[in-house]
Amino acid sequence: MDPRDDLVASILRATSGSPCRAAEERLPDLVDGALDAVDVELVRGHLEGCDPCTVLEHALVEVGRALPQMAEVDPGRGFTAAVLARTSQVPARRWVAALQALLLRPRFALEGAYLGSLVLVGLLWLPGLPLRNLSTRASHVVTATTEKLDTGAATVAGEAERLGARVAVQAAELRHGAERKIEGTLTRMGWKEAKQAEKETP
Amino acid sequence: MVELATLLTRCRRRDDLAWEALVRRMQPRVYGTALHLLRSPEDAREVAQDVFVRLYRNLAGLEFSDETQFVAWLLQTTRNAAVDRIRQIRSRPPRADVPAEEAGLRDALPSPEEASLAGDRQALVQRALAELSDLNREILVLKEIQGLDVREVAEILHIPQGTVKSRASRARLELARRVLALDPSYGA
Repeated sequence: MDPRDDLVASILRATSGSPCRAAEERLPDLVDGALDAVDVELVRGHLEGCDPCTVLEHALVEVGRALPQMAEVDPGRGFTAAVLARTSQVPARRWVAALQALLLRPRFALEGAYLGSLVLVGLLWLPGLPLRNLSTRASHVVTATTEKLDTGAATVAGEAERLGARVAVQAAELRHGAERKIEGTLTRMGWKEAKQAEKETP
Repeated sequence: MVELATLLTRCRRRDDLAWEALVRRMQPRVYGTALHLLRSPEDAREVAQDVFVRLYRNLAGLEFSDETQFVAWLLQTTRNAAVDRIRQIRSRPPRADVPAEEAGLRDALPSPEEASLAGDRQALVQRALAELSDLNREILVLKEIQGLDVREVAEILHIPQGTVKSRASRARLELARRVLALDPSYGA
């Protein structure tokens, strides 16, 4: 070891401690070229006298090269076939998926309401369509129905009055018949004369 | 090579050949992402298949302004599916009485000796990657391996962009240290 490095190490041990941690923290940025000029010089200066940090920097460079090469891994033979087999099992659901996709579109409700309004306006206003002049026709139907109801109600009231009169006549006849019947019975039994004699006796 | 946007348009019209081409083109990235996150080829294959089935079912409703957005969506879906799978695996009761090898739980990745002897430095990095925390590994997989930018990674992981930046630097440093621990001659 260079005697100067030994001296630096001794001084650092007695003052701030090992600078390796500070150098290590900046190694990723050094490797990425994201470190400013001053820091680059400071870290490079440290690396010249520190073997462990130099080894770590080399490993970091190698790891940085290796990682992007690991992006793609062959899943092996049969993978594509397995995926295709699983996706071909759902052709019957294709129309369901298409419908779901249509329904799940963000503006579907708005578009549906707009389309529905257009259809309704068309049915109500366009000549020759079944709902043309719907309001006028509905008004006629309501008026005719009301008139029929009024006539029906008057007929029912008249019928009720006639029935009432017939019931009253029949009731009077029944009452009269019953009175005569009672009177005849009393006469037969002689109670009428007895009562009369009783009345005449002072 | 047919452009990705053209393939997607054809796939929406249910062109089966375009769908096959899309699967072939994207499967290495989807499977690669799932494998790095799950560390099990079997689970990664299942998750990757699920991702493609999900893509197929939702093709009609998905709109992408460019290729990058599509790749970001695909990787996000892969990451979410992998996280769900990890949760499932962790919720399974431990099979303490069954030796790991019999239970099929032996790590599918090469041992340090195997990786080192084979001179396969990529496998070494893969093994070191598997030793990182979940969040650090996810950040490295999405940012450094799959090349998504900081904003996209932040959106996928629901963390601030500053956290992605600082975590990515620390995760790379940690990865380099772990690789060196597995093979001190790495990078020499």
